Amino acid sequence: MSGSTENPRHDGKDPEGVMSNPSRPVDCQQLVELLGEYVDNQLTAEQRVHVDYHMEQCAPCLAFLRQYKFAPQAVRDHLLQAVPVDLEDRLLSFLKKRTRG
Amino acid sequence: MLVSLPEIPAEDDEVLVARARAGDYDAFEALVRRHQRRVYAVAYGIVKNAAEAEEVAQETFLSAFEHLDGFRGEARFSTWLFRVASNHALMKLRKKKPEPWGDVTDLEPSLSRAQSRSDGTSPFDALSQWARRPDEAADANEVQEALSSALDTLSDDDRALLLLRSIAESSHEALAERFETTIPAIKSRLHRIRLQLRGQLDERLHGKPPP
Repeated sequence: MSGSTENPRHDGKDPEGVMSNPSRPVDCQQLVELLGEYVDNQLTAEQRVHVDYHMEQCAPCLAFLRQYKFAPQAVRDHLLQAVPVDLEDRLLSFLKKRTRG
Repeated sequence: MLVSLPEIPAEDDEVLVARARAGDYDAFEALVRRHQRRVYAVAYGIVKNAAEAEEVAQETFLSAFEHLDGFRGEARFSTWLFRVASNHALMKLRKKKPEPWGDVTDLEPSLSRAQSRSDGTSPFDALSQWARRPDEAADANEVQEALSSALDTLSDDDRALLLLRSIAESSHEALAERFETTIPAIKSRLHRIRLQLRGQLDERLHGKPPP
């Protein structure tokens, strides 16, 4: 493991992939491929156990997961914080004029 | 800082839509109040301009009012609303030349502040925080700047997809219909977008190229 800024990757990749053989443990590269389904809670129970176990042992992958999950939430918060405080009043005023004026 | 928004039960929307359709203007205004922040945020994330995002919000809710009679609840009101908002925003965007995020007036430039902080902290504090606890680094100016520029690396459609998922909380099914593709394709595309966004943020916060 070389650091949190790099795509986590161990030696000994499983060429079949954990999706085709969920009973086998996951390596770092496979874990990255599973993150989308992991954060959407769409892995099988067995796959989830393997992913959780891997992250307990692998700090860079845990950091990678946190950043992967955090990035869309941060974008969401960043944009919601840009909403003008008086938008609601202006919008309601505009709509009232256009629909009832 | 994470922004909290109230959960919006779909059944409440349906009740309000039914009342608004029957002529209850207060019910329509309740729908506007409930969804206006998310509609604006999605629009702003796509058009990257405050005035145009507000125009999109106006057009979206006006369209919602005009189509109340035709909305019978076969789809969630919010799904329909955000689809209309993203369509308006993408149409507006494609009518003009793209602008860099840096021109957006209400995105505060943070580089100069990062270089001369009065509190004595280093901009690199935010970088190490990003690796350890990215959620707690969200208030840092560096992170806000990184978010703006990282977003700008996404295509218009990818940005719309990401925002419809993360802000509008659209389902994979609704997104597949909106982008005229399959659910597995949407999941795969969202995964690629998240990886790209994480990599771009990491590049900006650590100063290294993404993997």
